[in-house]
Amino acid sequence: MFSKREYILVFSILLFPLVPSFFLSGNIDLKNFDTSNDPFRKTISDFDPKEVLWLDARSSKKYEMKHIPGAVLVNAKDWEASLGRLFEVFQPGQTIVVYCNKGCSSSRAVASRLRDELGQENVYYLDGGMDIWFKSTSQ
Amino acid sequence: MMRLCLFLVFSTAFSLSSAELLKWEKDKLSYSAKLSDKGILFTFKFANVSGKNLEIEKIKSSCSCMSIKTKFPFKIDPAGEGVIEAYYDFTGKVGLNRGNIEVICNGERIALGVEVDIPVPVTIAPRFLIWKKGERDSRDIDVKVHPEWTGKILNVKTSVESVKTEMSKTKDGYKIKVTPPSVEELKKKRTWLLLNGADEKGESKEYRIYLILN
Repeated sequence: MFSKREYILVFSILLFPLVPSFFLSGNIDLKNFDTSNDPFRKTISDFDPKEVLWLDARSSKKYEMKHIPGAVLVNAKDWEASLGRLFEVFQPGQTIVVYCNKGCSSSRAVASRLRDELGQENVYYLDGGMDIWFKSTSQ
Repeated sequence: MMRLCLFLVFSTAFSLSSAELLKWEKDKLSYSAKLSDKGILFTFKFANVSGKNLEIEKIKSSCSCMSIKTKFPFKIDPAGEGVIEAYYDFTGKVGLNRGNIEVICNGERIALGVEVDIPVPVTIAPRFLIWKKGERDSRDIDVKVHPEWTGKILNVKTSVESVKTEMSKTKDGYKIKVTPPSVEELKKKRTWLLLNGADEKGESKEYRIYLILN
């Protein structure tokens, strides 16, 4: 009915709708509220890890189990005490990076609140969270 | 060639239309919380538009703060409708928070999103006042009180006498004017002000405002 060339064409077109799902499957990134253009969302390679002040936005229980070395616990649940801890180590102008486990929304919310309350703009949140940091440093 | 073109048009249309399994009333839901809210139940409504029997195999939340209330797995008849419910717990959260729900239907992954704006009873900005070397100007702090908050802001006290403060009422809270000490008077480079108040239950509440003087 069709030539070999036509069969290839038909086959390619039939498979075309499956292409996006093939690439997405297994590692779908559910960023429904798109934050890809958010200037405060940064990846691990955007910083020199030794130059930034790391803030952990998770619960104190999770922080005690594991955290980035030198990170300060700053979460919304215990905001007043968190600010006290931050005050002890904060150097004006220093870049601050807030993280969660896997880049959850708490780190974004904490970073946003800190920008207002510290009155400085260079407060970011880490895309991929703490897991990315430990993978990149293999600790 | 004509025969091939017709075939391609029909087959492409068929393969594209079969891609959508569920039609969602909304796949992103937002909520602006009241101060008294403890959480919110989000309900995503859907209809089976695939023309075949489907199965919701798994529903997963991106955050431990959001629990999926809809039991799974379950089947959906052709043209059948249903809902997916997820409860977002506000405990320990303020500001704009986002979360995602992953639905696996007949092996296909579907992403749903929620957004909640959780208010703060008292917002103090800035919380950190920083004076560089040579700067000794007065600075203003805005204290915004949420209209639903039934607590009170009482006064502001300083731990260093040479730091002067003036508190005045504004439309939505208070303004505190802070004047730092001169270099000669400066004894400590880091100190704080204490903003005293009472929470909804009448119990005392303290907010620190941090001063860094260089």
